[in-house]
Amino acid sequence: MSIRRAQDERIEGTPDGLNAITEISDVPDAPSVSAVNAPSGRAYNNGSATVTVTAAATGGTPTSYAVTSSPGSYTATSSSPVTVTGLQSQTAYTFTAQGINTTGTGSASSASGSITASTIPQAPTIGTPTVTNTTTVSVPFTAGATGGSAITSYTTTSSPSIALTTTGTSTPLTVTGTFASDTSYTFTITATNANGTSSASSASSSVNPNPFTSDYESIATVTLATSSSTVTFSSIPSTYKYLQVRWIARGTFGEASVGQKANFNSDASSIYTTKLIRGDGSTFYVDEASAGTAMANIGRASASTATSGMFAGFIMDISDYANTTKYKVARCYGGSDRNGSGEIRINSSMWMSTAAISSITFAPTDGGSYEQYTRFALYGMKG
Amino acid sequence: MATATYVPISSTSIGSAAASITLSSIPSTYTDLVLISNVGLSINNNSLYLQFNGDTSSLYSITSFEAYNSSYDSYRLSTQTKMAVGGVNIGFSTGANQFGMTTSNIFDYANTSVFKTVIGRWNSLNDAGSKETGALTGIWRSTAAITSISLFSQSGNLSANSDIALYGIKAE
Repeated sequence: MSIRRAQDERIEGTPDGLNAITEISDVPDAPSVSAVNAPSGRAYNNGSATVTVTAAATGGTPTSYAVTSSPGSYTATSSSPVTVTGLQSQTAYTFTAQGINTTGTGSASSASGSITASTIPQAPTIGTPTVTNTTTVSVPFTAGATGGSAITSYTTTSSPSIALTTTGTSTPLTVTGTFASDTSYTFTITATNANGTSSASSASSSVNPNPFTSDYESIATVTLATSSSTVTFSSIPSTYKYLQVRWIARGTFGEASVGQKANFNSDASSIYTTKLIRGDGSTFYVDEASAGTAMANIGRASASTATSGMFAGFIMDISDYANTTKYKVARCYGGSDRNGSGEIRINSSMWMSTAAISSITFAPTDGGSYEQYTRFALYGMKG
Repeated sequence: MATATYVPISSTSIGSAAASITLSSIPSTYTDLVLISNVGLSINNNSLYLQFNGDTSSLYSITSFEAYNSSYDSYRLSTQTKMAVGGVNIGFSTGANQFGMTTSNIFDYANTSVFKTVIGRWNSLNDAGSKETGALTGIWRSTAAITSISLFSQSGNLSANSDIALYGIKAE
């Protein structure tokens, strides 16, 4: 506490009217700002300044200082040095300080010298990546603000995470790595300057740099949401060597199973020939049919009296289906389990036509329809 | 647009005899599974079995036909605790270099609206006098999605160098 002669004047209410000397508290006089510096490594738009404040020789003794920035009026109060945070990156600031004690806050100092807040960079904005090849992805981006220090590098991170090499400091970045087969990746980018590394960009859309390749391709699938009397694949491309149909089936019929047939190109003329072997769990059978109007007896699907959920499974292979110099040969293999019985069957059929197969129609043979969840899938195999 | 599929999911080869091989954490992203095994059994006259999701309840049935040496027949096994996929009355041999082969197609394995249907083929030839080939259809009366498959012998072990491979086929 300082003491000074307050006023050389009469103090009202004193008994003798004599002048009085009174001890009173005083606020600090304006301090001086002796040094300012800006630490590095701060987050973008959260820069800081460290302000060293020296008390004035006169006035009350400060116990702390209130420091205010210009622009922005960011403030902080503490003993010296005072750290002011929240400064916008790459912005010039000056500071004033006021001493504080129990009496109050003193007047402000003159402004400090100017400093520019230098931080880590702003996060980049990522674009849509494109696949260059199975090990390389091109990742475009829009650079964010530097934070007051030049960006020295960009780093790319993938999800799922693998080791990546990022090349380039301008858009697009070239990202290389050993991408897993048939796996989709998203990417994020960070920028680095002398102060540190930015937060990550948002994740990119996904790409599959190393897609699975196969000579076996899914062409079309029919999954029944409601019953249907037939299932047809039409406009079958002629670009494969072989076709395969895989299906599970259940039909409406008053027994535990229902027969099925197939017709090619909707042809119901009597040019189908079939040979088959089958077992029903107790007997091994050999059957055949000639001059049929369909590829018949291809297998019995589960049907109405079989427990709900039971479906038969089949695979049909058709060789050289687009060759117009040959009759068409197909083999069907599969069967069903029923309530207390079952059947496994291999059917070999010939459609005595040289026409390329462009459609296949499947149907239950005993009337009725295929039930919900029956699913036929057509695949092509390249030659 | 046609989509490439028939994707290898996993394969396992055992370096020494083991009671079973299990493929677990099977992704649900495919429509059908194809399980191919090349397996030897330590005890002759055994069969190769599988179980789904470790389920040992009596929900498995198969119907098969087969040619065994000079005879042929058809068999059925109902309400089993496991599914025979490599022969019903005869298994693979004990010879160090002799392995049987099975192919099991498992339909709609992740569809929780249907029981799981399997159609399979196998062949087994050995120098102990047995020659067998056959085909089967099987069912696991469960609507649970299949997430693991275990292969094991009726008794004894799977021989060293037994191998299984699992593929996934998408229907798109």
